[in-house]
Parts: sequence; structure tokens; C-alpha cells
Amino acid sequence: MNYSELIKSSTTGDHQAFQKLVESLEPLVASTVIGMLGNSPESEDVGQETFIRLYKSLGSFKGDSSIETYVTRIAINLSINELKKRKRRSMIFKSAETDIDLGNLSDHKNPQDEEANRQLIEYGLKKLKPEFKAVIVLRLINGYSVKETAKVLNVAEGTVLSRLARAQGKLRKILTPLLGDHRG
Amino acid sequence: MDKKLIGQLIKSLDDGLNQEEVDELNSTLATSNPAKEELEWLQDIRQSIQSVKTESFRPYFAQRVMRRIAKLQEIKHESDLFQSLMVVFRPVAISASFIIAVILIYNISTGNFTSLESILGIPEYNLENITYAAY
Repeated sequence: MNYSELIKSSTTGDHQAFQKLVESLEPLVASTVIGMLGNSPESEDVGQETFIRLYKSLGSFKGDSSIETYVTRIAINLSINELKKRKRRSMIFKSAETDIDLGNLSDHKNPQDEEANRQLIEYGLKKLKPEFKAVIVLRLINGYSVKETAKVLNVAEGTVLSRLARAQGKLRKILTPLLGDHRG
Repeated sequence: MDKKLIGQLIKSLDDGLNQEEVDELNSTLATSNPAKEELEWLQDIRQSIQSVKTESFRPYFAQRVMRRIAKLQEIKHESDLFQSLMVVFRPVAISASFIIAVILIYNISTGNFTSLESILGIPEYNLENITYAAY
């Protein structure tokens, strides 16, 4: 069954069809939400909430954009909300998380170390503002084109390009000292 | 390194430059080793970013979503039942309130308001009456 058939069956109350839809879209939602929030328990909650929102709004889904774009937009919006909540929480309870991460990262400077690289990138992404993180996740992790990224975020293509440039510039600033000073 | 050049290198990776800018950048890259190194570094970083891609949640994610949806539907059914009862009983409650109000107004206007029971037109009971009635 393709997406439109699964959507049609789901709107008539076919739970198996919706479960298949969830299974098909899970990789996309997981890469979006985990890219935005990191691998945390909240990511799973936001992932589930994304599909619940999709389920509730399937009846009003007109098909103007693809289901992938539609579900990614829900996932991005919910992730940005979660990041805002985190920020509010961290303003109340100052977290020592950042210092711990930085401490661990400084031990891994070997660029061949895949896990260390991953940690570095996750650390760098964590430091970005949600709007910059969103373009990095959509364009570089999910592999959307600039046009598709603009459509998901409902902004102009020029905005996506400038956010991408600024986000990569910031990542460069954050990661250069951690990767050694052979560049920058 | 020149900030403008870094900006152009970044944009070049997203097809964000016009032909004139591309030509300018290519000529810079042909002569400048630091610019080439910077471009390689940016490409490496982009590749590393792609490597953090995680394509699944914990196992049985879809089943957990479906359980939550089933639970939501149960709550919705309960709320639907409550709504139906509201629809059925609302006219009865409104009519009863109206009748009570009419009785109240009538009794007050006829001066028969020695107690709340008399105003409402219901039999008056006090503790002594109830106690005697039991014997």
C-alpha cells in the first residue's frame, strides 16, 4: 500500500493502516526529532506526540504537501517547543550537563574516532539556537533540498541559506577549538 | 580567514551562489591553499553531521503510539457519552429550573414565605415531626 492508500484507510478508522504509516514514517520523524533534541527520553515522547497529532489531523490533511513534509513540519514544531521548554527549565534549574559533555569531549580529539566525532557534532548541535538547528537537521541530516527545507519551515529559501551559513559558521566556531587548532 | 570567503564557501555547498560568485570562488580556490583546506573542513563537518542521523526510536515504537491512540479514543468515548447525557438531560434540567422559579415567584408574590419549604411549596418537616412520626 502506498501513502495515499494508508492515509485513506487510516481516516476511516483502520488502525492497522495507521500503524503501517507510523512504521514507514518512523525513520523520518526519528531523524528529525533526535537531530533536534538528541537521543533523550523526551525525543521518544515528542516522536509519539508527532504521530498522535498526525492521527488527529489526518481528516483535514488535504495533500497540498507530501505526507513526509507534513509530518516533518509537525515534528520540527514540537521539537522547537520542547527546546523552548528545556530552556525555561534550565533557567530555573541551572544544569551542569554542558560542563560534563565538554569534559568528555576534550578527551576525544582523534578525528578517526567515530563515536568521538558523533559526540562532538551532537555537542555542537546542542549549542545552536533552535532555528539554526532546524535548518541543519532538515538540510544536512534529513537531506532535504533548500526548497523543501524552506517549505517545511515556512520561510523563504534565502532565509534557509542564510541560516545554514550562520549555523555552519557557529558550528565551526564551537568545534574548531575542540578538534584542535589546525584550522580556523 | 576572511569571513566573506568562509560565507561563500558555506553557501557554495548549498548551491546558494550565482554564476559570477561561483567563478570568483573557483579562482580563489585555485590559488589559495587555506581556502581549499577550509572547504575540505566544511565538507568533513557536513559529512560528520550526516553521521549523527538516527533513524529509529526504541523498538516497538509504532505499537506504543497505537496504544496511546487507543487510550485517547477510550477517553474520547467517555467524553462522548457524557456529552450525549448532557444533551438528553439539559432540557429536563432547564424545564425543572423554570418550574421551580415560577413556584418561587408565585409563592413570594402571594406572601406565603414563612420558610424556605413554604416558598418552594413542599411539605414542612422539622426534627420533632420526624421523631413523632417514627413512633
